[in-house]
Amino acid sequence: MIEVRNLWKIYRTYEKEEGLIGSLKALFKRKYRDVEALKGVSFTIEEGEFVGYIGPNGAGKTTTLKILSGILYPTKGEAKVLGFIPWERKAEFLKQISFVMGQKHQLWWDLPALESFLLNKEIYEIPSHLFYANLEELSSLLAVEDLLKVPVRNLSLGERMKMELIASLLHSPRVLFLDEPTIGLDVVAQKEIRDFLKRFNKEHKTTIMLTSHYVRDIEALCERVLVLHRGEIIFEGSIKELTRRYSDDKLLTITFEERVPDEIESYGRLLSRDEGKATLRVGRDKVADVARALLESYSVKDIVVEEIPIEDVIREIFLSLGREEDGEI
Amino acid sequence: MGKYRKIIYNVIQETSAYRLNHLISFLCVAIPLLAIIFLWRTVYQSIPSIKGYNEAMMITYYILSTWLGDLTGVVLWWEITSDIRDGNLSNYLLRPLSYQLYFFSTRLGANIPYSLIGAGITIIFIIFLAPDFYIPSNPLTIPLFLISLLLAMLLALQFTYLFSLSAFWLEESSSVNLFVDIFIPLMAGNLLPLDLFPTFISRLFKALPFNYLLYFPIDIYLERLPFSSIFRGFLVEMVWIAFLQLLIAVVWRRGIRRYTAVGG
Amino acid sequence: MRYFRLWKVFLTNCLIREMGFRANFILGILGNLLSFSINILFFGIIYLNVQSIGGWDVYRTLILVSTCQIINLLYSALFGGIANLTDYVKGGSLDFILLKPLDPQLLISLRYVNLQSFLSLAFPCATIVYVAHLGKIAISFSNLLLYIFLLLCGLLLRYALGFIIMASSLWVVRIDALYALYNYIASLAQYPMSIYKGGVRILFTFVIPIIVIANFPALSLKVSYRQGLSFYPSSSPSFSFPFPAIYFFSVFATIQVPVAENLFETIANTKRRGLC
Repeated sequence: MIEVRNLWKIYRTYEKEEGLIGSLKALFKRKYRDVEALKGVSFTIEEGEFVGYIGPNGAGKTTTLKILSGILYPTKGEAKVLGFIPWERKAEFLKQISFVMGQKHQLWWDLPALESFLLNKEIYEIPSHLFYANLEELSSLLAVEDLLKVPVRNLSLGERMKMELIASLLHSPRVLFLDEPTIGLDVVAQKEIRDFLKRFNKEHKTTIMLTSHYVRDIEALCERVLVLHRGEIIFEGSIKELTRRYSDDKLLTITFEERVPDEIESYGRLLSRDEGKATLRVGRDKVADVARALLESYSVKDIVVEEIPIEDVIREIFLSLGREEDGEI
Repeated sequence: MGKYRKIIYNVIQETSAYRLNHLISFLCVAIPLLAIIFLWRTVYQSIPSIKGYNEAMMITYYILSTWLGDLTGVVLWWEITSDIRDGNLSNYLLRPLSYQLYFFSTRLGANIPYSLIGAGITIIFIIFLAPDFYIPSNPLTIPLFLISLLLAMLLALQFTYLFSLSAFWLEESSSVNLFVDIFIPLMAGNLLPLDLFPTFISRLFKALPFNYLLYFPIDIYLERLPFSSIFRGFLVEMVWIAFLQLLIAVVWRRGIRRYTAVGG
Repeated sequence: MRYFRLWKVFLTNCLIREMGFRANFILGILGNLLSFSINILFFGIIYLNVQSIGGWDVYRTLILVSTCQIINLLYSALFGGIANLTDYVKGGSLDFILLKPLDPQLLISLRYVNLQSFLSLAFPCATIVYVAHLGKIAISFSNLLLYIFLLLCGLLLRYALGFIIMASSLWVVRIDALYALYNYIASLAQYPMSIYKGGVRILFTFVIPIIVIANFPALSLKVSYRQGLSFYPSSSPSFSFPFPAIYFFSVFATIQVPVAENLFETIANTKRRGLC
C-alpha cells in the first residue's frame, strides 16, 4: 500500500542579508545552507494498517507525510502510495488520500462546516448519495450532527478538529495521513477522536499513518510504530518491543507503615517520595531481590510493580541518542 | 517635550527599516501622478488657461498635492481605533502623557521620513517630467507657504485624531472610513483645484475647513492670492484650529466617560 | 460543467459569508459607487472647460472610464483571490491546495468570489447606457458583440498581468507592496491612450500592456451619431478595423497567460522541492 525506499529530503534555506542593498544582492546571488530532513528512510505499510510515526521535533515526520501525500518532492529515493508516485499529483491518486494537519485548517472560518463539506463534494466529485451517507455516518460517529450549520469560528477546538476530520474523510480515502490530530485538545476530545479513529480504521480498512506528540494516542491506536530520529528510522516494531528493547527497568512503588526511611536511596534510583510513599526505579532482574530486602527490613504496607510509562521510555531513547533539547517528543 | 521627541525619533527609526517597501510605495504614488500629468498636458494642447491656471501651474498643483498628500492627509488612524476597541487605551491613561500629543508624535514620526524621501523623488520627477515646474517669483511666498503648510499639518492631525475618536461610539469604522477616504480629499482639492468646480460647489468647498489642508497652501505657492487674502485665510484657519481643539476636548471627555463606563 | 458546479459552490460560500457582514457589504458597494462617481466627476469637470482631450470627446471618454470600471470590477469579482497568493505560499495553505485533485492555479484564482464587485457592475453599465443616450449614440448589435469580446480579452490580460506580478513578488520575499503597485498601474487604463507619449506609451503598451485593456474595447464601439445632432463628431476616434486590436490581444493572451501559468508552476515546484 505504501512503499518507501531510501527517501532523502534536503531543504535549502537562504541566508538573508540586511537592508535594501542586501535584498537586491540576494536577487542575483544567494547564500544558502542545506538542511537534511530525511536521510535514506525506508519502510512498507500494508493495507488497513494503523502505523504510528514518532520522533522528536524536526526529526522529519511531517516531511515524510508531505512527500507521501504529494505536497513535496523528495530530493532522492522512491515512494509508491496506492501504486502511484505521490509527487506526480495524479488526480486519481489525490482522490484516494487525505491529510489532516492538527495545526492547519482547511475549513473556512466564517462559514458553517457543511458549506466547506459541499465544496469538497465538488472538488472530489463525490456522488450525492455517497456524500450524504458518509456525512451522516461520520457526523453521528463524532456526535456533531447538530453543529454542521454553525459557523466554524463558533466551534470549540475539539469540535473544529472533528469537522476537519469529517472534511478529510467524506471522499472515503483509502490512505489517511494524520499529523498531530489531537494537538492542543482537552483530554475528553482527545479520547473521542482516538476512539473514532480506531473504529474508523477497523470498519473501513483505511490505511492510516499517524504522528502525535501524545504517546497515549500511539499506544492506543497503533500496532506498529516507526521511530524517526534526525532523518533516520531507528526502530520499527510494536510498542511492547520498543519498551522491552530500550528499557530494562521497572517501577516499584512502596507504601510504608511509617515515614519513608532515609536509606531508601540505596535500593535503587529514587524517583519520588512523600510522607509514607516512595517510587524507585530498579533493574528488571533485581526487582524480586529489592522487594524482599525491603519487606525484611521495614514494615511495609504495600508494594506495586509497574512497567515504565511509555512516554518516559521514548523520552529516554531520544535523550540517549541526541542532545538534551531533542528529548521532547 | 523630550519624551515626544523620543517617540518621533523611534518611529522614524522603525519606519526607515522598510526601505524597499517605501520605494515601491513611492512608485505607487508616482504612477497615477504620471498619468495625471500626461492628461493635463494633452488638455492644455487645446486651451491656454483654465480658471486662471496655465499648464505649468496645473502640473505644479498636482505634483505638490501628491507630495503633500501624506503630510496633510486625513486618515482614520487604526492605532487609535484599535486602542479604544481593545481596551489598550487604559495603558496610556495611566501614564503621565497626553494621548493626543502622543498620537501627534507617532504620526509625525511616521510621516516625516516619508515626506523627506518623497521630496527627493519629487525633485527627480520634476527634472525629468516637469521642467516647467512653477517657481514663485516673490521671495516672501516660500515662508508664507511654509507657514500654511505647518498649519495644514496641524489641522490634518486634528481631523485625523477627531475622526479616529469616533471609535468610542462606533463598533465598525467602514462608514467613517468611506467619508475620510473619498470626501475629504475631494473637498481638500486632491482631485481638482477647487476653482474648477461649478461656482456654487467651489464656494461651498472653500468655506469648509478642508480646503486649508491642500488647496490653500498650494494656492499660496502658486501666488494666486493677494497678501490680504492670505492673511485672512490664516486667521480663519487658526479660528478653525482653535474650534477643533475645543471640539476634540469635548469629544475626548465624553468618549472617556463612555469608555470607562463600559469598562474598557 | 464540473467547473461551473465548482464555481457555484465558491459563489455560495462567499454569499453566505458576506451576508454575515451585511453592513460591510452595503458599504462596500457604496464605496465602489463613490469612487466610480469621483472618476466620472473628474472627467466631467475637465470637459466643462475643454471640448476634447487628445481627440476624445466627453461621451467616448465616459464610455472608456465605465469600461475600465467594468473590467476592474469583474477582475476583483472573479479573480480577487489571487491577492492571497503570497499568504498561500508563505503560510501553509498551499499544502491544502496541492492536496486537492484540481488545478491549483484555478483553485487559487477563483476561490473568492467578490459579490460586492458583481453588484457594483450595475453602475458603470448604467452609465454607458445613459451616456449613449445622452450623446445620441447608436451602437449596432454586432458592434456590441465585438465590444464585449474585446472587454473580456482585456479582463483576461488584466488577470494574467496581475498573476504574473503577484507570483513574481514571491521571489522578492516580503515585498507585498508590489501587488498594490499593480493596482496603481492598473489605474493608467482609465485614461485615453492618446495622452501617453514616448517611452511611457511603449512601456505600457508592449511591456506591461495595461493601457490597452479598456481603450481597445472603448475604441471598438463604432459610433454613429443619430440625426446629425452631434456636437463634435469629428473629434471622436474609433478603429475603422477592429482587427489590429483583436490581433494585439490574441498575441498578448498567448504570451501572458502561459507565462502566468508557468511562473506559478515554477514557484510551487521550487517550494515543493524545498528550495525556498
